[in-house]
Amino acid sequence: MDYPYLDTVIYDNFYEMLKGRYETKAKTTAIRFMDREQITDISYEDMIKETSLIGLYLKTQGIEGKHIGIFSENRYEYITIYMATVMKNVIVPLDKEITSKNLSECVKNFDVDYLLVTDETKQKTESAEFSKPDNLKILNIDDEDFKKVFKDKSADKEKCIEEFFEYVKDTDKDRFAVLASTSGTDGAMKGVMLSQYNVITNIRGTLENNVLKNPTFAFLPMNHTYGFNPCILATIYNGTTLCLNLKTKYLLRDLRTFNPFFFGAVPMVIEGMYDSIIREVKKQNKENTFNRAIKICKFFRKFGIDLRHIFFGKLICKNLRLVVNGGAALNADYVNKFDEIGITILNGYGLTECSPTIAVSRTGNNVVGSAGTIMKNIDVKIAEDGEILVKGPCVMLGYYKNEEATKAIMRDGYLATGDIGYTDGKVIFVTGRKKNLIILENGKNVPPELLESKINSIPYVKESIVVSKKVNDRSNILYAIIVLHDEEKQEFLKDDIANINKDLPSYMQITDFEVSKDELKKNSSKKIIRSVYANKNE
Amino acid sequence: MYEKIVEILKDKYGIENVTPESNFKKDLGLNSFDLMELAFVAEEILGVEMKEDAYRKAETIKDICDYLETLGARNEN
Repeated sequence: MDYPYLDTVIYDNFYEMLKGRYETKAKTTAIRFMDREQITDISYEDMIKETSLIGLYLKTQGIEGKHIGIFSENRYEYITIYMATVMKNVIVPLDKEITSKNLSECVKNFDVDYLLVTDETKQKTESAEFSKPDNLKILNIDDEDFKKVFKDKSADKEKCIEEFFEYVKDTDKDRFAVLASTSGTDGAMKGVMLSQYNVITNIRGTLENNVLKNPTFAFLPMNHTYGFNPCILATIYNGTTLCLNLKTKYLLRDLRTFNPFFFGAVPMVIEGMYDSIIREVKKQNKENTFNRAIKICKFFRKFGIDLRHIFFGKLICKNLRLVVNGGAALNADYVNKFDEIGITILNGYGLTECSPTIAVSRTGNNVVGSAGTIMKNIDVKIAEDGEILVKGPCVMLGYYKNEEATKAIMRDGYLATGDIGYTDGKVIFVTGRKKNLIILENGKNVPPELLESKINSIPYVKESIVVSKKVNDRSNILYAIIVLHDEEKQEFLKDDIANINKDLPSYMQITDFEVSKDELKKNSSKKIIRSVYANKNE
Repeated sequence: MYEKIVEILKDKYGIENVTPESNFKKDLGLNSFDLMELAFVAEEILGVEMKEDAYRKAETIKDICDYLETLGARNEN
């Protein structure tokens, strides 16, 4: 059976998208969020007005062609700042979890001219470990002076939007506009240069694979291309309402309040949500009722009668029908478990270098176990060694100031993903990775070599390997196996590992370790055989 | 404070036999999603607002109790 791609409106840059939404959706709610029990709705025209005010502020300050870093928690202003910047400057989304030291490196390596911080993140720029380049200007979004820029109620809406549109209408869609950070396909931190066209065609691709009904919900970190592009920007492109979760601890509360149709997630959240449901069912001694309801629904579905939302609608929220999993592979059991309670889990596949989506499953053709249907205009082929190669408008312009890495990842016009897999031309299957990256259940990538080099720099350590260790059915920790030169020093190891952890973001910290009396197993070229230790289970 | 957290762990996750030094990830098998849920429940019960960076950094039950005490969480039964 053939499943044609869906038709969507065509915008090729952010100016066209914002203009289109202003002309057709001005009064529609664009953004909804809850802060301290208070729900705020912002219409498309108000969001575009605030975007315009920021864009015009940058213009009057003579800020054009500059690199503007955003170091912020998830918030509404992240979106307006991003959209105001991307047409005339370069937006540099930075992970708010990185340490002050790493932040200094990013700011320096990515040539950030202006760094936007918030009350919550500014501490990291005030720390002694943050070395501020002389030319860097730091602005706090929460400062009253800055707030005045985009919250200027006296500004004439129509006039400032028109003025902004006039300013950005000649924007070059192919110019380098976004500098996204990635640990890349080989684990080393790099800047990925994306154009507006890369991003816009990619979000359009997600809408050509699936219908996003109103409203959608976003909670993933906004600095991630997966959190921002297919979840947030796709909703704006679509002209529907995006509900924002501002603090992940309120995730379940916000889902119940906003009652969305769709959200994008990572395996940890999908699995955690289901386990949380089951715990609650068990706590209320309703396990038998729950299982009976599943059987009844299965029976009626055979006759085309779907009762799942009547039985299970209250478990998370009534309207939720679609969740896209990305970032890491999801245990296929959960696809079936969620299907039983009326929620379709679709897999998405991509990488930052591809803006990020390459494939996403389709509701009409959800091949369980696959990584999804390859999006329109994306050409995927498999190399002789099984590596997935990608070509298309989503492929990045290159790595920032790193021609060597750019050359290394390109093969005859195709981007080599570092993943191993196969395809039938429409659907893609990912079976493994070519390199040693550890992909955590929250979608974060950890290059084990980076941690190992830190451990190996402890003077009494001979060698080490870092692996992902399963603690239970759905939790993994980073675990080091360490061989010592001098076993008498073992008593210091715990403190030395703690010292290493201090400089690492929390997701990258080594939770536990063991000391091995035997040398690590190596191949004939003296390289540690990772497969012997990989996915170490208890 | 410790008793409150132990009670939440038992009620929410059925986890018993813990010590102040029990490590959330290593000993109790909780992942970041569970910690996020735990923070939400603890906030509701104890009447405080925890900073995301702070509760995510907590490795052991003692760490989270110490942090909650700095916030002046309600400790009455």
